Amino acid sequence: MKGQALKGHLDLLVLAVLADGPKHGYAVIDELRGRSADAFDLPEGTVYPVLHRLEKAGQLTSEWVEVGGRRRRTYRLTDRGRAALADERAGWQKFADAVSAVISGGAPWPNPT
Amino acid sequence: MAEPDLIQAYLAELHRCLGRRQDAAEDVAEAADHLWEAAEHFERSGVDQTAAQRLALERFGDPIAVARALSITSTGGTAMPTNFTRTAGTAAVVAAICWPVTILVSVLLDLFDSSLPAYLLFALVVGVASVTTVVALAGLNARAGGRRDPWTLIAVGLAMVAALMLVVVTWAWLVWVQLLAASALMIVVRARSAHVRSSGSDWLLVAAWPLALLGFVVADRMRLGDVDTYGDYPAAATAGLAIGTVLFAAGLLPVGRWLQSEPVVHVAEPQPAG
Repeated sequence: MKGQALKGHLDLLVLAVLADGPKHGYAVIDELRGRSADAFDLPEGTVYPVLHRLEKAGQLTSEWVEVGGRRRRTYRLTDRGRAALADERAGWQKFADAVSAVISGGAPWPNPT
Repeated sequence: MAEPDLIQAYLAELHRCLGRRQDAAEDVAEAADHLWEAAEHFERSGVDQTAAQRLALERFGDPIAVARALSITSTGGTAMPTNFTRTAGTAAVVAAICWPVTILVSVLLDLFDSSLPAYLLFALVVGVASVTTVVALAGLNARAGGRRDPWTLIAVGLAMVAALMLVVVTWAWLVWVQLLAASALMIVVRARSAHVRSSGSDWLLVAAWPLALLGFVVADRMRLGDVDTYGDYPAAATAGLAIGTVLFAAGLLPVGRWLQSEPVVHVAEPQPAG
């Protein structure tokens, strides 16, 4: 799946990966690749602007640490980030259910209930 | 440890593309950590050092695209040096020269020559100062990531109205100088909040015209020079404008030289992720 197809969903994916605990950029991207079984094919460098944007929005915090002689920036989800993740998860689930219903052709849509 | 050549060269190019943004060093440090870790990962899987670095770089993406994505602001603009910002740098230098010249020509006109050609010369200098100032301010705004957002429209719009008034109703200087000050304030604040520039001399662009007004009020109270037929003191206005033009020029010059000095990053289309 190309990066363009992920446009608009990367915030949710990054927040979800960081929900398990603090990670640095490489670990976030590695986890994204791992969980998606390498389905997401996007330039890794373009994930960093997403991390920076989420930090500016107060959904992440970051701190610099030294690991093996290298400076490393680690990101952590904030309470606002957890709330945003919950909202985005719910929104995505609703969207995915609706799309599934339409393309499977088996269920009425929109759902009358 | 892998050979540093490929990754180091990439990081140098990334840093160049990011320009002199204040947090560029942090972005490069973050990219360095990523690239070395990725290269080490590939090496552990049995790839030789050079190939490992090449794979890490391929996955990370083109440095221009990455720099561009890192430079995209909340308004969708890109805080990077472009041909326009470089041109604006030249415009700022020209404007910095023209502003004090307008006062000089005005004084010479009053003292020695009030012929039509002399007034046309004055109008020409004023016209060049106004146009180049608008381009300079718009360029600094673009360098800070401004695009066609409301902040840009208001800031550049104020500068354009001020420039138009400067040419058409020069005498109404008490109004247009404050519009220019408001425009400069908006753009300097944007440049600082986007971390592209934090030079103290930028505040001269903002303070120049309020200080000009203050200088005028003081000179007027002191009854500087002769009274004209309207009961005003033209020398007081000239003194105020002289203060404003010199300070504004002192603010424009470093901005212009900085915009001119930045290497342009050529890229066709931004490719932001997310």
